[in-house]
Parts: sequence; C-alpha cells; structure tokens
Amino acid sequence: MKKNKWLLIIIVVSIILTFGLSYAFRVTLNSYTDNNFKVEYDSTWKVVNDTNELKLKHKKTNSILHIQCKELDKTYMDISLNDLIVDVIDSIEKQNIDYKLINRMSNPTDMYESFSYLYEKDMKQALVNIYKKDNKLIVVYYEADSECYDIVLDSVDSILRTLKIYTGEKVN
Amino acid sequence: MKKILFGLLLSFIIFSNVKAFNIDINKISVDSQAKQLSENLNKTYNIETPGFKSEEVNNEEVNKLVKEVVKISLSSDSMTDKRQEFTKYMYYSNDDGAETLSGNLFIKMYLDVINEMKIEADYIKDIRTVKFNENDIISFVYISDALVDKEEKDIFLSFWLKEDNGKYGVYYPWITVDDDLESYFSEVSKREDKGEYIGGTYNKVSLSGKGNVTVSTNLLNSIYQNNIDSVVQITGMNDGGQNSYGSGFYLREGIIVTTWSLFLQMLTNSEYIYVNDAKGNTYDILGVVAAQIDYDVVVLKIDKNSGKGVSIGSSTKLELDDKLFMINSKNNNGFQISYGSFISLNNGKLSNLFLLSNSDVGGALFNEEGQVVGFNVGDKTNSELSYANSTDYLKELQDILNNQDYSKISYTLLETYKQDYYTEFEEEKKYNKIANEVWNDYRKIGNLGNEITLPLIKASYVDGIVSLRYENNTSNLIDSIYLVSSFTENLINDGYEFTYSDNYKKIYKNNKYKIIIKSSLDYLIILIMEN
Repeated sequence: MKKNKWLLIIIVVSIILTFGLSYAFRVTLNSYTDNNFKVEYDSTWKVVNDTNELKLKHKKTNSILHIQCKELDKTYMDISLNDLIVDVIDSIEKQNIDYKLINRMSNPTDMYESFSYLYEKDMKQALVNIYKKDNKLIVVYYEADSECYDIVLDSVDSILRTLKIYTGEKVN
Repeated sequence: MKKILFGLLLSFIIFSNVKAFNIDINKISVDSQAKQLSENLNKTYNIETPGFKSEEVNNEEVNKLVKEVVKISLSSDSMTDKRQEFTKYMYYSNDDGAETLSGNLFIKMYLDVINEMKIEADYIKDIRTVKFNENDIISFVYISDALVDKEEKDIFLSFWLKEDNGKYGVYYPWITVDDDLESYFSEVSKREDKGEYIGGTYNKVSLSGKGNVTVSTNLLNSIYQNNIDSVVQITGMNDGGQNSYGSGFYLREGIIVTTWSLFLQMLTNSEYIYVNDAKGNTYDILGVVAAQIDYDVVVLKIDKNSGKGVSIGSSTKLELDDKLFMINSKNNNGFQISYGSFISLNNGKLSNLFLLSNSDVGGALFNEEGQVVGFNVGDKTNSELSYANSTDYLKELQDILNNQDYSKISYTLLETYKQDYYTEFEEEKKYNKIANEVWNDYRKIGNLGNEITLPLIKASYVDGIVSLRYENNTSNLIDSIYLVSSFTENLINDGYEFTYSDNYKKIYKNNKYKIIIKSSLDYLIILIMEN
C-alpha cells in the first residue's frame, strides 16, 4: 500500500515535471510593430533593442539579426530599388570595409522588391537584405559564425517572411 | 606562465577590437554614386535642359478633397449615406445643368461599382494630380494592398475634377484594378507572339470631350512603317539569363537614347548589355556619349553605324487628347505599335493617359506626324497615368551628332562604368569541418554522399547538426531545391516522411533524423539533425 502510494507520487511528480519543463522550454512567438514595419520572431531569439528598430540575438549561437527602416523622400516612391541599391550597398560596405562580398541576388518573387548580399570575414558571415516599399527601405543584416550561419539561417528566413512594411497615408 | 598570460591578453585585445558587422542607417545614401558617375562623363557633348523640372507640384487643396472622397468611397457606410456624403464634393455647374446631371450619374455608377467589389483598404500609397484646361484636374489615387472581395489587389481610384466659382468638385470618378491592367498587357503579349504589330490602347476616357479615343488602323500602320527602324530594345543579362529589359530609340545612326535609370539598373545587375532592333540585329554598347541625370537621359554609342535617327517634333505644340504612339516590344518577340493620349506639359514633362509597363521605359513617344515628342520615364508605370520627358532638349545634340562622322563621335567606355557598378564576387572560403567518422554515418542517409554532386563549399557539425552548403553552379534559372530529386527519392524509399514544402524549403523526417533542404541565394543547403 505504502509502495503504491510512493509510486503514485513519483508518477504524478514526473508528469508535472514533464509538462512543466515542456512549457518552460516551449518556443513561443513574439512580434514587433512600429510605424514602419512588423515582424514575428520566436523565443530562440532575445531582444537587444526594440526602440524604432529591432535588434535580436540568437540565444544559443549569439548570432545577430538587426532590422531597421530608412524613410526616403516621397520622390523616391516610384523609383525602383534597382536604381538605389548600388548606393545603399556602397554606404553599407564603407561601414564594414573588412567584409568581402561573396554572393548577391535580387529576389523578384518576394512580396517586396529586395536584394540579398552575403559577406564574409574570417570565420564570420553577414547577410544583408534590403527591401523597398514605396519610399521606405527596410535594411536587415544577419551575422553569425560561419559554422552555424546556415543552421540559424532557417530561423532568420522564417522571421523575414513575416515582414510587413507599412507605407502610405491612412484612409480611415 | 607570463607568456601564457601575455598571449591571453593579446588575444583579448585583438578580439575585443575585431569589429562586428554593423549598419548605421543614418549613413546610408541613395544618390551619391550616380552623381559621381555623371562627373566621369566625357563632357564633349552637353544636354542643356533650361526650365526642365522633374518634381511634381502638389495642389494641397485638391489632395485634401480627393482624400475625403476616397475616405467616403472606402468607408463601410451604407450606400445611401455614401451618396449623401459624396454630394458635398460633387461638381455643380451654374451654367450647365446637363453637366451637373451627368456628373451625378457618373458618381452613382462609381459608387455602385465600389459597393459590388467589396473593397477594404486602409492606406493611400500615392496621389498624382494633373491640371488640364483652365478648370479641370485629373487626380489618380493609388491604393496598394487593398482587399477586393477578400483578395489582395492594387486599386486605382481616378477623379476628374471640375472647377466652378473657385471650388473643385468631382465630375467623373472611375476605378481600375490591377487585374484589368494585367489583362491588357497579356493581350499585348499575345498579339506580339502572333506577329501582329497593330496594337491598341488601354485608354477609355476622352478628356477633351471630343470622344475620339480610338485611332484608325491606317494611321497606326503609317507611323509604324515610318519609324520601325528607329526603335530598339535594350537587354541586360548575366549568367543566369535576362534580368533587365527596356526600350530606346535612335537619335542618329549608331547612337541610341534611353533613360539614365534603366542604364543604371543594367549596370548594377547585368554583365552583358546589348541592343536589338526590330529586324533582330544585335549590337553591343561601346559607351556613353552624353547623359543628364535630372533629365533622366543617357545617349549611348553602339558598335555599328546602323539604324535610322528619329525626327524630333515639338512637345509644346501638343494639345489635350492628342494621340501619342509607342513602338516597342513587351517580350522581345516582335514589335507593336500602341497609343495613348496627351494630357498636359509642365516644365518639360509630359503627363499622359498611356498605360506603360516597365519595359516601355526609355521608349520614344511619337505624335500623329510620326515625330518624337518625348521618351517614357519610369515615374509611374502599371498605371493609366504615365510620364514622358520632352525630347525638345535633345534637338541640339541631334543636330551636332548628325554633322559628325560616326567614327568621330567620342564616348566614355562602358567598361569605365561597369567596374564601378557591376561587382564581381571575392572567392568564398571553403572548408569541411565534419570528422570522417561522423561523415561516414551521415553520407549514407539517402545516399547523400553520391547523390549530390554540386561543389561542397562549407560543411560543419555543431551541436549534433550537420550543415552542408553546396554551390548551385548549374544555372540561376534552376532553383537549387530542384537539384535534389534523386536524394529525396531515396529518403522516401528509406521510409522518411515528407512533412513540409514551400518555394524555399522541404523537410523530411523519420524516427531518428530531421532533414531540411533549402535554397538560399544560389546555394543548396542541407541540414541534418537528430529528431
């Protein structure tokens, strides 16, 4: 009888611990919204800065994901990102002169006009994505150690696929 | 011990000073390189543009009225309430009761259409306003990300406003959906594919009230035949295929004109830029003869003294509703003539009711006499309203070049610009950090070691996850994710379950492993982790 009682207590405690740990370690979804953009990210990332921009650090690998908005003059509303990208990238490369460009792609099938540039320095890689909607540029960079870059990239892609850029004047 | 401490201290100093990647958004500039490029131009030929202004001047009073009208159009109020609200902004003529009555009817029809379409929209992307006549304005409101009967679409609300006693009111409103424009472009492409060169117009509105929207086939044929040798298409390509495409025209034999914006686009994205005419002849671009950024024009020399220079007419002689013609190709499959209507000329900029696609940018606009009066610019494409810059400013340069021998026309080499714009990549570091004993196990999964024959760029094994990056050296037209069919077939045969798929990623699982196959840039990435 006493033995059964102890067995029952152990089973109940195990169940509570299992659910408790699952709950504690579950991956939750968070979101960031400001006047310029919205993204969703999961709890494997922690927020470094979320004032007028979103800077995240991956908890396990210390990789960085930084999303910022640059608002241009309204005259740039209908100018293609193609026409601006060289200047934008030139400005970014001047701020990161040790990083070498190893790959580049325009992404015509994405929701927004966008370009991706991949840089490498020693055993680190940095991906720069530039998105344009109307007169707003969303400038994203993701930096990680090369060994875990591709592993964390999946999570980065999931975050960037939730990107929604807000432009225009509200009607109602 | 001291050496160890010194080594540690030195390492600390080095690593703490290694600068991580960072972007200061305030240091991002968007026009410095273009200005630099124009400074490198051979200054032998100048393009003077006195009085030309590319900026729009907004009429705040009209914009305010238009925003109110849009708000009413898209509100969730009942039709009765909407009509009542709209009457505050209707045009009333003190002299012409018929005009007032017809305006009333147009508004009723417009609101009925809006109601049927069940439109939901929150944001106005842009408002463009063009004045024509003394008392008329046409205003185009661009609304992106609208829902039309729950489907996401771009919509365009257009308002013809008339003024009476100092107050503007809505006379004729109409709505266009992006589907309508796509259908038109699709029809144009089909005609091109069939070799039909007489096209039509998207334009349905006559602003002059003369009702003459259509043009005779004879006139279209005449303008086409007289000018087909004067127009070109310009294509930019890299190893992956065509990536930029636009239009241009001959200023004289061997010299073509297009927009500076299109040229920059091609410099950025394309390794090869070439020109072709309607007969299928292909030419290389030798270099830049002249350019003017604010006027958005570049004049290029091609590698053969061929083609036929256009006759430049005067854009100042155009009148409201005059027909404008364009000869070009949407698919580079055959040239076609299409047309639109002139609205107004302001500071050297033509505003037209002429639906253009991106590939029409740089193309010549001809008047009914077959003279060029403007070249299309990309300020507004995929829209009923479009813009062109007057070619009046090119007359002087045309006269100079016509009096010169082709071989004597100087230019700045194209390569001079390409080295500043088209960037070659550095070589990526290649490594394989997976220990042999680990790889010997993982390479058997789906016979991975033998099935994927793409060059392996990076391989690592971190925290029980194998990460493999392969280079897709086949073609940019083939997405990496389609190069693994034998591997994925093996996975299925080995009992893996196909659990997820989208354009970029596929996931397979069994009791032991989870395998993610994805494409990123032009890489194939395979991640294998314990399940």
